[in-house]
Amino acid sequence: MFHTKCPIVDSKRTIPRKIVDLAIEYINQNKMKKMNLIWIEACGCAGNIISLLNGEDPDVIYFLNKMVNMTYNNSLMAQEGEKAFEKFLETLDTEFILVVEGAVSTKDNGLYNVIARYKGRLITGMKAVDMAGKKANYVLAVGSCASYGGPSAARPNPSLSKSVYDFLDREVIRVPGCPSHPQWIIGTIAHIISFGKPTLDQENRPILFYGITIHDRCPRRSYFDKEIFATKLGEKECMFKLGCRGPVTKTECPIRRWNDSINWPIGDNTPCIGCARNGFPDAMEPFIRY
Amino acid sequence: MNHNEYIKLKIYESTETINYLQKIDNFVLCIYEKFYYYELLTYETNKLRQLMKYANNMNSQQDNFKNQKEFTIEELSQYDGSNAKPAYVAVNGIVYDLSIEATWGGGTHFGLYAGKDLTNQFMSCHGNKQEILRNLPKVGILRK
Ligand code: SF4
Repeated sequence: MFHTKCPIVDSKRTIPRKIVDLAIEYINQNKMKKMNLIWIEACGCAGNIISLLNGEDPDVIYFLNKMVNMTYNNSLMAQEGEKAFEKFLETLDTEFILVVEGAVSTKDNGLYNVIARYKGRLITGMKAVDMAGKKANYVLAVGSCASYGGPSAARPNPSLSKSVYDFLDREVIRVPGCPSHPQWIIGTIAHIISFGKPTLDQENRPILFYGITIHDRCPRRSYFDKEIFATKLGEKECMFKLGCRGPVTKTECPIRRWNDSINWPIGDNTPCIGCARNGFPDAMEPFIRY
Repeated sequence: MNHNEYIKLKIYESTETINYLQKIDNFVLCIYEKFYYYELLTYETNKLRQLMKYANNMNSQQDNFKNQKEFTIEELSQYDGSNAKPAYVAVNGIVYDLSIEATWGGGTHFGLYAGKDLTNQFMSCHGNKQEILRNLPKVGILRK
């Protein structure tokens, strides 16, 4: 419906569409050179790369064909062994985006996370992140381990793992989540290649995806406001009394949802465990309380 | 002079100023002068209102809870927020009700559990933000 008083109200609905179309157009016209991308899996569980494969609109095929030139990733690339690592070294001399998933294990010079053997020497994750981090045009810490330490750095942290943010002495964009949502990853990269660095919040997360708490957009919020709470799992009311971390976690899960937007934790009767925020998992425990 | 006395002094000063300004405002003839004093007067009354509000808050924190329910540490530990029980936490001797405080899901908050005296933890994290406490419902005091 046309709004007579305020033009912004109308254009608001179409602004995201326009930006999306613009980004697609740029990409189709090959306006930007496809940037190289190195995706290092450091001390983590490979969850984020698996999550990326689940991407939809755009999916990972589009991502790899049209948006970036992924030269190195242990799970996806065809080469193996020294050949693979040579690719990594070649890319260092170009313009590239560095994506790191997993924390940086620092004990004994990173020996607990070896990612390659090159000319008889062991290459640790710590060394690789350091090498690439110094040269990359942009560094993305994808997943909670890379962003904040996450499960890898949880007590008692025997491998002395650190987040990429703390490890590298440069600007690191954090894209947390355990795992990170494929659209948060692709969206952030799309923004970088189309319009440059996205607007970040104080913790260096793109506010596009991490601007508002889950609690603020939760479909169960009206129960919370009326103080009607679930007393056990499976009930449809607000799960605050079961230990929900939605009020302290900023992501857009309630509207983006997961697995092609089919469902998400609270929609499936699981309280939010705060997987995308600083302090996860130690500070977010207990995950459930009753 | 402690903080309390300081506020009292400020309130006294403010009332004096208001009295003075009112007197002048009654006697001046020039209309612009009248406006000028009137403006000053409004400014001063607002200031006084703020001061009073502040003082009331301080008093309610200190005195109103003298006669309230007293909790021993054992009693307090009953209210740990589990099984939808209320979540009470003591800070500086006052017991606060955090049952519907959004950041305290399930009576827990960044690894801390309700039903305890968390003065030290509060001080180390929000020591410079005492006003957080002012808006929390208070339910009693902690017996020493
Ligand atoms: S379920 Fe969690 S996020 Fe949703 S309203 Fe309740 S406390 Fe907030």
